Amino acid sequence: MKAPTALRPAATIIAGALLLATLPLFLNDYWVHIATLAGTYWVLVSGLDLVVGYAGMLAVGYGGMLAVGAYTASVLAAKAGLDPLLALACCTVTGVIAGIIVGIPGLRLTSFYFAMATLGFAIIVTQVALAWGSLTGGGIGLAAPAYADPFASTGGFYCLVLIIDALATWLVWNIASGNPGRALIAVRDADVAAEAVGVPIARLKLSVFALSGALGSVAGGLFATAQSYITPDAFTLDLSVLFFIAVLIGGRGRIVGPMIGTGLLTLLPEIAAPLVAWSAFVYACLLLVVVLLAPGGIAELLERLRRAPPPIDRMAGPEPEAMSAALVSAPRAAGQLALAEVSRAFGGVRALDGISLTLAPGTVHGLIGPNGSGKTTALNILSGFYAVHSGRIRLGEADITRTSVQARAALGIARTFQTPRILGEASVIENVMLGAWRHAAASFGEVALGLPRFYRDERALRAQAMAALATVGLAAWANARADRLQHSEQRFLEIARALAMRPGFVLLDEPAAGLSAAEIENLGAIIAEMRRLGLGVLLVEHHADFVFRISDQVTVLATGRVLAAGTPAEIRAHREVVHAYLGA
Amino acid sequence: MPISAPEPAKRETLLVARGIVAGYGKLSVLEGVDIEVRAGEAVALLGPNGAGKSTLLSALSGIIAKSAGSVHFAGADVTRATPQQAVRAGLVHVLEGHHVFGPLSVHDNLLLAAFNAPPGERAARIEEAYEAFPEMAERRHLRASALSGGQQQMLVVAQGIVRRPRLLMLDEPSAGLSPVLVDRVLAVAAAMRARGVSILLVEQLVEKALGLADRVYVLARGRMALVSESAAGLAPAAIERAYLGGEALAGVQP
Repeated sequence: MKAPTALRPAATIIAGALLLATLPLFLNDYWVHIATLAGTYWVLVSGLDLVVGYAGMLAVGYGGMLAVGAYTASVLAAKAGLDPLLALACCTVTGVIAGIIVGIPGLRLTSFYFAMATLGFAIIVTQVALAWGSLTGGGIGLAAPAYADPFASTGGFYCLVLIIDALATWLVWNIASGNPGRALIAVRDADVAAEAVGVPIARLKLSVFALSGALGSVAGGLFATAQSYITPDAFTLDLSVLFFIAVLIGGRGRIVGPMIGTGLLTLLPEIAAPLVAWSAFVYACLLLVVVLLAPGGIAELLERLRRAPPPIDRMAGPEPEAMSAALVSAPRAAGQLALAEVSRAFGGVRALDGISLTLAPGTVHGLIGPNGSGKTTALNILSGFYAVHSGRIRLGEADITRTSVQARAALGIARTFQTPRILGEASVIENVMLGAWRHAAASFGEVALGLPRFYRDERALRAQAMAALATVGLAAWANARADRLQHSEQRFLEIARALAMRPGFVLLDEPAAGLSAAEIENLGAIIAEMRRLGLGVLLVEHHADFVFRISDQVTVLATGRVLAAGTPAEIRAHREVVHAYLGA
Repeated sequence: MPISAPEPAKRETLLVARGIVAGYGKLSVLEGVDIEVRAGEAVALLGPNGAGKSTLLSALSGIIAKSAGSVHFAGADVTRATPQQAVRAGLVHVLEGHHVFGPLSVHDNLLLAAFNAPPGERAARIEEAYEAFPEMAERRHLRASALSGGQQQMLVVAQGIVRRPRLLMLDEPSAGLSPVLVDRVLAVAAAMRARGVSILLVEQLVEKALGLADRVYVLARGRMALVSESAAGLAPAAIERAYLGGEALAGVQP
């Protein structure tokens, strides 16, 4: 019975494409024009979906992209006499430039400030078009390029738009389902986790802005022809709002939802003609309805139609022997990871005051101490999240004191978080595949174009991620949404993600907090296997018995200093430690 | 050093929940759970992770909806009460995880927790919390996001105290706390019980929980696998068996 369920998506896509392609046969020209407009908008919205839906950036002013493309195509065709199709291709160039211009503030600005910047971009573009009369015709406007046969007729042009729609959807689908898509969701939902696995966030964002700019600009070129004549007035703020809302009511992190949303928003004013003047009001109402009734948008409504997820056996135990497959190659012995006389203050408070600590490959180093003694700060310094104020960090012979988080991930330093940082809306296995980010060979462009290397990467990463999930006992959950996991299971998921990085060192921040006795046993077996395979493990933990049982070395911190360091037996007998930490 | 209390059976019942069915979306977690907490007693709610302990607390405090069952608190029907109404009635739920208001100072966090208190009483309640956790008093002007994980956990428990509950439900209060501090948090809970506050404790440190509790429930796979009228004679091994017993129970379900 597997074949029908596997066929269903493909069959739906083919049926949908056939229906769309044959629309001109049974609709009059007016409605074909509306469908053309919707298709044009989707070229832009598909790219915007990556920015807003996946990366979670509030890019509101994409009407500006439409204007850039419309003027690029029209000016090149009318003033330079370029073939309209060639002019349309040139739109990608101006689009990439415009996308990067919009994207650069997005590297620093967050949420509303970035939204304001993109709105500013939209206004600037129309103002320039208005003022640069010699090129754009100013307020009088410019005739749009007219295509030669077979795209000259209304139906023919509609088919051109459909072809470009298919291409745009293909590009965006590849990006969304591959490594970049997972990394974008991570940037949106857990940016520290994205950093910790080594995602180069700035480069990734700019790539996505460039792609969405190119798509937006091509949409603009088509839009100009659909309107046959363009003036700056054509690019209203309402259009920008329409694009943004199409993604929101479609559902973030989805593709089909925003596609339906685009069609719906284009059709709505046509079906209810008197509402055209009220379009902003209608959009606002629609948005409110969606936010209140289905916060996940149309995509969520579609998902509700599916059956309830099957119950999954929670008692499955870990298989530490699968770890070597998860790590792929034997971890290289990069030498010891060491803190030397490291200090760090927050405000006036000295969180760490000259601590030294050495983590050797193939050992477990326990780090214990009272709350607020600086354990997590030490871990954040080792993984690069905090800079030091004095002291050095070394990996083997290399000084990595000033090395970024991403570069340290590339050097094989993996970590987990005290509060698990997972991508709740992504599947469990996608969370783990995010960890293997660096081990994918395909570039952003190769992924977008669906070249063979992309598929090889996906297969290899998926196999590696399955091994990591089996290691921690979550293999049965691979395809479930990660937010279905218990708090304790999320901790194991983070460990699987860390293993997928193929690290040399693993820094665990309170991995046993909230775990039952049986789960702590499982955790112990996993850590023992890490040691056997030559990984260096730093274990920040409060379950003292557990730490003493599995550690080779223990360091005790108190108020930012090393209170004691030695073997578990030495520490257990240390009077001050017993007094300050263990109680009794 | 558990503080001795009057005969459990003679106390009046504060919370009665019957036949609670609840879950998330189409996923059902609790399948008909009964639980009772009497005035001035400490009850431990144990069970493996995934059994539904946190879900049960959330169903009792109105954070998630129940698809069946009833909850009575202090004689009133609170089955459909919102979390705000539950807090006003004295049913206080301290959630798992460090749910503090990061950008606000420690003191403002506690002031917010005292939201429902008469204005004249707020300062006294916060002083009470500072007495229990002097670390918080020392850091009263610090932003909560600047606290360490364990200190945030302390703050969350302190917020529970400030709400001045009749029933305090603590979900994994020991998570992220050093051994010394776990003992202190449980001692604070014991002191509150001595003043007549009921405690419902979800905890993975079984022995610590048994040290505080008067009575014990064990939840496994969405059903009560064990109800014990006395925590004193209960061995952790018996609890572990109950964890597995719940598995057997779930096995006979269609």
